[in-house]
Amino acid sequence: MTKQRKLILLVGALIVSSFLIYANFFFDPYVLRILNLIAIYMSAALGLSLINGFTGQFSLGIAGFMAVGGYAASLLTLPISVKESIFFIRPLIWPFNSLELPFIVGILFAAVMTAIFSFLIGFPVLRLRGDYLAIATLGFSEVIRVVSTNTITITNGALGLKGIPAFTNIWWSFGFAGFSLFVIWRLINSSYGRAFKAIRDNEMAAEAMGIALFKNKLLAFVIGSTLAGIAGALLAHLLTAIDPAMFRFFLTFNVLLMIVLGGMGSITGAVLGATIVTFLFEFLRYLDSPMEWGFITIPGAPGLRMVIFSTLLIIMILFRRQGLMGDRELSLAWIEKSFSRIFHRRGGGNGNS
Amino acid sequence: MAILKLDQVTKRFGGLVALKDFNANLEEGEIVGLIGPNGAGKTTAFNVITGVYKPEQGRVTFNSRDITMLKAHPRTAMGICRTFQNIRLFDQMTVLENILVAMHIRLKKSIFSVVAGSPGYQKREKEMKEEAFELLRYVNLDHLADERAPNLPYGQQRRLEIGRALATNPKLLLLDEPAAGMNPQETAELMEFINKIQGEFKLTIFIIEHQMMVVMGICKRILVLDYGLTIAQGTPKEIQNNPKVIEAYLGVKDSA
Repeated sequence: MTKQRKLILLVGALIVSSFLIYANFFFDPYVLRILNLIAIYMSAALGLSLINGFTGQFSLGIAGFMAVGGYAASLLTLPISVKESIFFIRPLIWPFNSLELPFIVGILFAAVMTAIFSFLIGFPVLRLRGDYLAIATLGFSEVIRVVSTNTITITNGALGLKGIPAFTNIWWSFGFAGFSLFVIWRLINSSYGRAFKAIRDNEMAAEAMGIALFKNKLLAFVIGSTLAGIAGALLAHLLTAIDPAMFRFFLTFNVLLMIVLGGMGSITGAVLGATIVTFLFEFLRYLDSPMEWGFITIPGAPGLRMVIFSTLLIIMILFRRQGLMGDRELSLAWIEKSFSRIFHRRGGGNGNS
Repeated sequence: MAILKLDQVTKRFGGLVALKDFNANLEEGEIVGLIGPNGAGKTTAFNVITGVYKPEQGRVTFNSRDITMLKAHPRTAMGICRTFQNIRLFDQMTVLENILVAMHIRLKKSIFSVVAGSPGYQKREKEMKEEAFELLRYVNLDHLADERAPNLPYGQQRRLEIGRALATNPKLLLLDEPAAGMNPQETAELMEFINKIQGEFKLTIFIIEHQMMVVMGICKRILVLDYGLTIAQGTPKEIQNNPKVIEAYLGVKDSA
């Protein structure tokens, strides 16, 4: 890495963190919450992007893993008194009923649990390809949701968990988004990343070049799902209440929309997609309420904003199927080039990252 | 010493016998040709050798180890590599990355040390890139290193595919119709190229080819398949004059 590049990275990190500090102290809670959501969805989108975009294994199970992460972390961090009060149908089983651990332990537990779950699910499912894989992962995601509705002694069933401490703040969510970004970036630009992309591009050739298909698919699946699981844990501690209905297919669809919009196979695409979709989701909220245009009155129709998203998706698929970024990246080399174009001609961007 | 030995190998697809009692013996350093009309079972033979298919009967031995039931990727690690009849490059990757993918089996670093960017991995990555560049220079594609693979003209894609196979450090190289779709000049260059890599990388080469000029020109020995059966084997001269081969290719003269 050149000196110039380090400088750009440093300046970028400074700008982002000073913005976050400013936001943390001066923005109202509503805006802060949206910022938190953006960061959390970013991590989930990066995880899904690794599985769907880079390794080419079309998985629709991300909501299930977010549920696993959310429940796993909350069960550890919920105060004992709250546990006693919300589990009034059937008491919570040991050891969770006597535990009240710090957030970081909850997050680590969420990571371990989603890694285990995704390994157990990925092991049989990743033998399938294409549409069959998508259906099977979707099925398992629903299974997780249904099981969580029925294991009342662990998840409190359909009532869900309430009173989860609001540990997630801007540092946790963006910290983890930065971590996910770093991990995926390193991974994709490494030898393992090339192996993943080779599997996506041509399975038969990849195997002939000595790449263990199943092992590498499973590796990508577990890493991606674990990132989503931790995102689920952060989400639970942001919303302070979770129930199985939150983790329907709708959640998977949202994350999928982010990476399709941003561009499958692009890290910056996933980041961009997560930002745009989360932002629009809040911004278009007024569409769900009654509207008056002059003398025309439209009664409130909940879900109208989803029509906008569907339209957006159709337009995207018709006119720009590869997504905003395609499989290109907004790289430092690109920034360097544009900068050196603005500030005289210093020869700028030689080689790419 | 025989590096590859196929012993009475039979492969069926439902009722179709694609390969029947196929025997082959490749000595180290040989270039052997495999010819036959379309659908004779040539590519099936390659798929059995590389582990894409498992045969119903028979044994495949490589370097005196029975590999009949081994999966495809460990065979590559042992030193068997191939190219494909219809080119199969990694389309969304650059020429350099295509070569680097083939070196992944020799990485031997855990994913944790890779993500953490350990000095050991960074050194290895640098070595791999240097080695890949050297290989690209060798196959004369170094000036196109950052080009995406599908943007290359056909002949160069073929060469990249061979280069990629070489990057796995093979002992046995299987070439599936490398000269398909090439003009006479390109074909002549290819023949020279195959001879060159055979000597320099100490390869044993098994080659399927329809262009007789190539097969007769570089193979010391030729096997002929027809409907899954080995109908002839021998030197190019013997094959050219073998009545069974002529029959398989041109049909029988009506003796009325």
